Amino acid sequence: MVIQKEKKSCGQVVEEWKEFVWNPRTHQFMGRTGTSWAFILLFYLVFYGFLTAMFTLTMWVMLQTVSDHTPKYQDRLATPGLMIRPKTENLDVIVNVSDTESWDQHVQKLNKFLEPQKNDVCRPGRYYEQPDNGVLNYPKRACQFNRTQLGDCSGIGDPTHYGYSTGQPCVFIKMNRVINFYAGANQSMNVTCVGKRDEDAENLGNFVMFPANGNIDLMYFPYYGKRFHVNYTQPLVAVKFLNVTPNVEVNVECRINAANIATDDERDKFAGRVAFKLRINKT
Amino acid sequence: LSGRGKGTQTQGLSPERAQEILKKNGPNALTPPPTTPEWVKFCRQLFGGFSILLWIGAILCFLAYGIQVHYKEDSTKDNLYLGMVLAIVVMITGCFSYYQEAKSSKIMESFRNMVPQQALVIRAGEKMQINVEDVVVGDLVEVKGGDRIPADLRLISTQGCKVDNSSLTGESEPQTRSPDFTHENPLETRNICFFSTNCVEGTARGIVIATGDSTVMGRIATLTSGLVVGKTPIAAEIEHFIQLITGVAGFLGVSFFVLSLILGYGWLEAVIFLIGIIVANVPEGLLATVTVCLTLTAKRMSRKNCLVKNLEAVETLGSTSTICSDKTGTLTQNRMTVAHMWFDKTIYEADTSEEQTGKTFAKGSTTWFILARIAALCNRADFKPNQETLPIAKRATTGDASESALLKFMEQSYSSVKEMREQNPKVAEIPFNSTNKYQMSIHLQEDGSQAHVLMMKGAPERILEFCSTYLLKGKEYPMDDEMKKNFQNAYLELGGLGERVLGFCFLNLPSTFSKGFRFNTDEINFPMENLCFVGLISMIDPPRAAVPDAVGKCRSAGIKVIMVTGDHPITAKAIAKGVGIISEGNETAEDMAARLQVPVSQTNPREAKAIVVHGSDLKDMTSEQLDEILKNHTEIVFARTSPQQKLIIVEGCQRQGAVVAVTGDGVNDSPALKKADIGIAMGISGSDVSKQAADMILLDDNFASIVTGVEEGRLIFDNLKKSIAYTLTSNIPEITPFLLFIILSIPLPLGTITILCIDLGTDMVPAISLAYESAESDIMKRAPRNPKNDNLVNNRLIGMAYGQIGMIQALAGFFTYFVILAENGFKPIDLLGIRLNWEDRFFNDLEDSYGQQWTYEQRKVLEFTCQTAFFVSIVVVQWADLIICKTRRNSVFQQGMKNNILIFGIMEETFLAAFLSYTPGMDVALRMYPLKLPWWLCAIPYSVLIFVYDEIRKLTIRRHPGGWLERETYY
Repeated sequence: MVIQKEKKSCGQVVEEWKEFVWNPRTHQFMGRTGTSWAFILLFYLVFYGFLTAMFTLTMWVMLQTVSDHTPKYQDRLATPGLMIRPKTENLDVIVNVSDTESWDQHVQKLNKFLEPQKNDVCRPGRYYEQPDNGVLNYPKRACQFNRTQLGDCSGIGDPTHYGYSTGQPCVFIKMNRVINFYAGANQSMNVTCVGKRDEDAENLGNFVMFPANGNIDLMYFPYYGKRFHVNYTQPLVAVKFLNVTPNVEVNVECRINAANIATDDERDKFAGRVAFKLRINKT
Repeated sequence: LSGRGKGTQTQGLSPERAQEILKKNGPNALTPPPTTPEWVKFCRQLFGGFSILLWIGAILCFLAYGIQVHYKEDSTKDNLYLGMVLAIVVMITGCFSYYQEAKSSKIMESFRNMVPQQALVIRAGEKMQINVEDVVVGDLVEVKGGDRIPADLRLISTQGCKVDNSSLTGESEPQTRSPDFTHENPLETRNICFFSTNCVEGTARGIVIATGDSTVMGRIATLTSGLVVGKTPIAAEIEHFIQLITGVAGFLGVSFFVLSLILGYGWLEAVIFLIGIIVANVPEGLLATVTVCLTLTAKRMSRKNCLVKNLEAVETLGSTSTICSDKTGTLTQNRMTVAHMWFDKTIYEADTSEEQTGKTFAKGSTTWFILARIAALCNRADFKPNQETLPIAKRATTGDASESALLKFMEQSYSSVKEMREQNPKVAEIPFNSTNKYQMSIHLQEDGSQAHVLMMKGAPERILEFCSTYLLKGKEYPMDDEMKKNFQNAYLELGGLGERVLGFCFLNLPSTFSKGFRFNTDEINFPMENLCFVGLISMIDPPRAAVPDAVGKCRSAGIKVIMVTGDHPITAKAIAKGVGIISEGNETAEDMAARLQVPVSQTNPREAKAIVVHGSDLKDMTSEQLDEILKNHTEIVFARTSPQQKLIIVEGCQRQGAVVAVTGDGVNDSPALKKADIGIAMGISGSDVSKQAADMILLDDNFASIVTGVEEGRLIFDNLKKSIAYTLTSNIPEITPFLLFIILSIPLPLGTITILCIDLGTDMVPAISLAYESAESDIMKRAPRNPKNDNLVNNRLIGMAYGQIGMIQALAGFFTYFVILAENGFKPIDLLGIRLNWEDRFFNDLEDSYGQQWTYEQRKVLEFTCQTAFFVSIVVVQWADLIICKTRRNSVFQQGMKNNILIFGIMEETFLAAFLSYTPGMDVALRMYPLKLPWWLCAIPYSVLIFVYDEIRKLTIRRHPGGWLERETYY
């Protein structure tokens, strides 16, 4: 077997490329004539048109099977997460007492977050169930969350701007919404906060919780979904840190104590708990 | 010198002494040149081809991790793990390819050792065939034309010996060798033959003076080692393909790197995209698959009596468009056999098939009885001893070919020749010579009458001259004109069949010449005229049984079969007609002239499809004239050609753009064998030299094996195409997730690890299983591929894999992905642009379409579930892809599902996918999560679509051969 080796010069390669792009003899552009291009493009147009139609059809069929009311599966949301407000990047709440601008945006956000809504007054201590009973009961009514429950952190007539201007900031803790989740399993539940390590606990100092004990009432559950549960207001727990050691970063961890919420997920650091950093800079 | 050979000039060494020397000097073989060290080969596997791309990916991963560690203390280790996985993957594939390559080269090595070189030595006065390696200094060796010289020899006797020292001196002219000492310089002197040069003709006997590395060749070989081996077509094809894919990967990677930077992603993220795109583009398992396919085929071919010397020759054989075949031994059985008899004014046919089932003819006639006796008695051939157990046709004989044919025929159809000869002892004979053109012998009658009978056979016209009477049904009649005319017709008819015709006659000698009479054959003292003519027997070297079929297959496969033979044109033409090289109904210009009864010069040679070219005409032809013949005639026979002319013919065919396979057995064939695109040597009759020059060796010398080889070659090329089409298809569903992730900012539908799981896990066995796929029905019905523009990977294949099936697969994956997200709360419309929030690990209350809020980890688990499902969807659509890749033209219903390895492949990929998804701990190890059963079914409609679409496509191709769809999508 004899193997010929052809070495092409650079010029030849360029020449071949030129001829490939436009061949004046055969009127071929990129190896195809105009009609040939037209045919192949038409083919792919039809082919992809058909595929798009098929994809759209299957997607449509799928979306028909998905209810507007509740998602089909919720097993990934078995444990609702906790989150804080003000929400900051990296979850660091940094307050420069003298620097108004540093916390002003937090205050703006909180003001917006706590804007009052006109909702029902419900009976505390039990779930506010609104079953469909065969007929769609819609829209669902939502329970009122009274800001006054938040006491010093309610921001009502508060010259200290949620304590930010005095170095005693309020941090709000909320639980993630999960449709049809009966948080607490008919028992009362509350939020507790601690310093993560011993030195954090020391630096953290005293704090007060609103409502008292960090209780979350059952009447805010269950949640029926964005579409049906218009104006739903989430219950909140506020923590006011009274004497945090200034100029030190403090790791705080808050968790919810409820019968049906596990807070020990190794992987998910936000399942039933939330960790954030608190730093109060004073000069 | 003579001292060394003392006392051994006729007897040779004693075997014991030879053993001693062998132990002392070692085997007579060159120390193999230092081959590429194993670790270099290993490194080549580790860093060559696609590996380098993956290494780049791995290094980028480590870099990204390094940067992350440097800037952020609490960085995740994802990139570190990915980098390590990539590195491990490269190493594992490297090891696998290395192992495969080592295995295949071992197999090829063993093939090479299956045709060991033999030498004829004389030890203790006995001639014996031993392996060349066992030849020792002092051995008495005999060489003959066609042999390779087994060691450095000092000649002691020669008969017309010529050697070709070109491998040593570069001189191509054969040199005469004789026992005379003619020159001081051992290279110049005439009485020394050198190891590994070739004896071209004649015979010689010599004493070994040096073996192995101490030979002249050995000393030179240790200086310059190894030949530079060029790239074979398939190696070039694969390299071309790797370059293409690497180019695409690089282009896509870099352009999306730039695009992601423009879209505002960070450097780090852009680098991670780059890695993903590279990994998605590279078919990691493909090279291993190719090696496996080739090795498999080489093994399969050796089972079918084709020994392939280099792996890639298989593929070249598949693209063969012209076969120049020898006649004797390849197309024919290489043994003269009685084909026809003419007695009692009738032509009888004898059985010439290899099995010799024995046709019946007028065995009852007395004429047959006498004819058989003459043929058996007036015959010098004899069976060699000790082969009574063999069938008659297979027994070895002494004596020339026609006499052996007669001997075997009579033994078979009449009775034991030995007994006959014992009962009718020969008292005198005149052997055949070319001036007499007859052979005569006188035997004693067996009936005890003490009378003698004179029997004669020879060239028919000579025999007729001796005769005055003829035998018809056992009765003598005086010779008349009618009989002479009958005789002429029969003679012409048999001669026209290309057969060698002999005439037979006898004379019962009068009683004056009864027992005891001393016959003198020099001065003839007995009557030798007015003999009684008995009949004619004609012989031919009959075609092998499988050949006509094989030639027919070649013809339907668009392969031109050209017969090149040294034989007489008439014989050549007869055999060519017999095996179908000149097909029925086609005639040469001469035939046409005879039919129209005009001189040959008046016929239009263009009208004749067939032609028989005489070697002497070929000698006077210019290359243009030869081209003309090759172009205008489909059926060509070259007769009376010399081996040198074979080379001219090969070159002529190659000028037509043909891929030429050439068979050859002689020393002189080696230039043609080397010149051909694929040289085929004969395992039985071939000389060592031809075997060395060839790329392939036919162990059974059978032309039909070449056709099997062609079929295998085509099959491997087809199957490689199918395998590549299958593997490439899944690249689209692997790469589109990245592209849409970047462009639409949706959560990543398919991760790097899952891509590797597809390429190296689920796709591997199915891709290899396609190598076991049996041929499609049209494999020997289509024209040979044109190596210039019909590449292994052409744009039609890319179009099919990437543009059509791959797209359907990608849609299947995305559909599953959207289903899972929607069923968990994220509707498709809300996903667009969600990426930044989705990827923010501190955003732990991301809202879905229902108002539920998700922590980072919760949605990541969902994302990885989607990735697992995307992966499973690819497996599901790859089922359909595997099934459609089984065939390129036929329907799967025609092809059947007989490939068990393929079925195993489907099962394996499914089980592997289920294993990866459901095994506990996979969520930590590979971040793959268990799927709900309905999610397996999402891709099914697309799987069905792939199958239906391709069946329709193939149906259209079959219905409209050469149509637009075939031109654009038949890969």
